Amino acid sequence: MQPLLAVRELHKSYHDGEIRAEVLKGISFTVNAGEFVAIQGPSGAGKSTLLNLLGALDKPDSGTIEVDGRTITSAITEQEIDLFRRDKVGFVFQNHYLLQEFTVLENVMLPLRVQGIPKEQAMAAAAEILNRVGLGHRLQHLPSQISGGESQRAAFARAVVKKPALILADEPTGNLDSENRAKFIEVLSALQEQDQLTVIVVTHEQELAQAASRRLHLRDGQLG
Amino acid sequence: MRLSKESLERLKLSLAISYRYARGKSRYFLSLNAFLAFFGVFIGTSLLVVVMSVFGGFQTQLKKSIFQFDPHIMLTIDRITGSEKITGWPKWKELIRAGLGDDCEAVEGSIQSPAILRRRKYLDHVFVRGIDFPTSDGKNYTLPDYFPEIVEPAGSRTIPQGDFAIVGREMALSLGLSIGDSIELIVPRGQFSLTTGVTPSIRSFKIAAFFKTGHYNYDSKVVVLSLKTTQELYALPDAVQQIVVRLKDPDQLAQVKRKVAKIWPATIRTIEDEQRNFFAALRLEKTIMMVIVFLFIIAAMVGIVIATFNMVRAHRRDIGILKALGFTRQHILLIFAVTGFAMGVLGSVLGIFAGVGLANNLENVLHAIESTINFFGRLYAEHGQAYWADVRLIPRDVYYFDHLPIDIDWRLLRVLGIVSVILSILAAGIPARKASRFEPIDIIRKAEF
Ligand SMILES: Nc1ncnc2c1ncn2[C@@H]1O[C@H](COP(=O)(O)OP(=O)(O)OP(=O)(O)O)[C@@H](O)[C@H]1O
Ligand SMILES: [Mg+2]
Repeated sequence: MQPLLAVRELHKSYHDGEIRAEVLKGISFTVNAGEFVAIQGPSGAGKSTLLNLLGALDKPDSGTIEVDGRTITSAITEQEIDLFRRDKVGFVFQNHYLLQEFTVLENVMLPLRVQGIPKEQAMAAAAEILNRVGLGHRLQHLPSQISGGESQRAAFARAVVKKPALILADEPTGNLDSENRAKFIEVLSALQEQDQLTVIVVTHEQELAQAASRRLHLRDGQLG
Repeated sequence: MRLSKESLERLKLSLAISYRYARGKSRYFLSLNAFLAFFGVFIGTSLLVVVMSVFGGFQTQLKKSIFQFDPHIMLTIDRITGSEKITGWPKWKELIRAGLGDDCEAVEGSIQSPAILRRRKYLDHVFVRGIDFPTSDGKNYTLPDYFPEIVEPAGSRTIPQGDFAIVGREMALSLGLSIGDSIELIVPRGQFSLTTGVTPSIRSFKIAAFFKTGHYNYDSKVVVLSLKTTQELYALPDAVQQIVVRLKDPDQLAQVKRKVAKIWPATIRTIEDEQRNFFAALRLEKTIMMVIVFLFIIAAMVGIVIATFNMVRAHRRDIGILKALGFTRQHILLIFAVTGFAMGVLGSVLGIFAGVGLANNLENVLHAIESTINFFGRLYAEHGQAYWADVRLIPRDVYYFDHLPIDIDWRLLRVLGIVSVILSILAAGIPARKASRFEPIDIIRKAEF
């Protein structure tokens, strides 16, 4: 079976004036559809850098990334990047980044609406996923009116509502207290299993890493 | 290119987001920021239209009074004094009329010459203008349509034949003349000549009417006689000094002058040559006005730039997220440009209409303001036992117009409309374009480090 994600010989370095720091020194791995992978490693190891590359938010110096049979690295046009972000990938960050002027429901509708799905249909799908993450009673609230834990679950709902091939989460529980963290992990695991989502999560936290089916360690710019 | 159903949905979405941002947290339909941008453009353009209309009105009025009274093209024999006599002028008149055909309203023989006016002890130099009035019954002359308004006897369009003169209203005022009064004109008789010098000719005339052109120089200095009387006065029987042409369309001046030049062998002068300074001043005024207009709009558009810029700055994070969700640059551009653009276009269009409305009712508006000020002034004076002199916003004795002249130049308004649309695109588009270049990575990094 062909893997959903194939990463080959990924290199990435940052230039800070004269100093050139190589953060990723030849990363290769594959992830199959339906897998739940956790990437762990010390601070500054390059975990966020790797995740940003996987989501086409940034470009590597060399190496290739293939998602769902599509190469998203070399010679990709801006239009292809937009389409990839729109249709193939869902992000969750350490901050929820909900749009403050829109209700929870509207925030979760956005990924579908930008795909061109009509309003009613998008609303139904968004309401359904919000119900599943336990926010059925918060649809018409503004982000400022719900708790941090609820916001992060709403952000997760926004990432999965369009059923993307790949879900990328960077420290999704980093800002949460233990109770909310447990709740988030529970929701994430449940949806991952029920919908056979492919999830890659970067985390420091053992609890979240333990929920994953596979754990990768990033150290000194290499996977170990 | 047809818009697919999906693209249409995305367009609707972008506009909805844009509107949400434009409204902000306001309970009303627009945020203060967006409203002020609109208001700036609205006030700017409407005032501009009013100022331009009043200004244009003054210019048109001035120009009209000159074009109405002065001949548009003047044919003379010698160039310096223009007082050489033209004999056989009826022949020339026919030739020129035939050559110009439909372009001209009238071709006439005329005598225009300086003279000295005497009324009792008072002496002043004036210009005599002998006009070849048509006559219908052999007793009265009929004034042609182009002849200025007669203010006394009001509305009259005939004068008796014989030694009668029509003078301007201002001259009548300053000399205290009434209809039927006598004046004397003293002029050089016949041709100048080196051997005999100048013999004066003196003749007395009765005032038949007062005219009003609205142009002070004419209304205070010109004495109009019939051509026949003038010929007698100057001792130029059967001759004129000028052949004058009036055009149907004064804008055709240059073309018609070229046609006349093919027929008339001697000097040709147009009204623009005669009044060169005046027309140059009008043109300069117009140019300066256009520059001011432009600066005005630019200033108003700065409000749009600021509003759009503020909107972008307040939503930097949103832009990063929207782009991570697959919004394209074009969507972001649209989201942030459309509000400013709409405010600019709406502001200028409504501003233009409001300006036209205000300009058309300016006199009433000014009168209303005048009465309000005076009402409170009197009230204040009564209570404070102070003296209150009524304010007059249109002092009639300073401006030589009975009505505030308004001339709305639709062509200029159209240009104004187009220019403000273009400027609105730029004013909203430039900050929005910058916004469209933000990348998610910039926002995420900034927040996490
Ligand atoms: N834009 C940048 N310019 C220069 N250096 C950068 C940039 N982004 C990241 N780095 C550096 O690259 C290294 C890896 O950063 P990255 O954010 O990937 O680490 P991380 O593993 O996610 O760490 P953390 O666990 O603290 O989030 C760090 O040393 C960081 O300072
Ligand atoms: Mg990180």
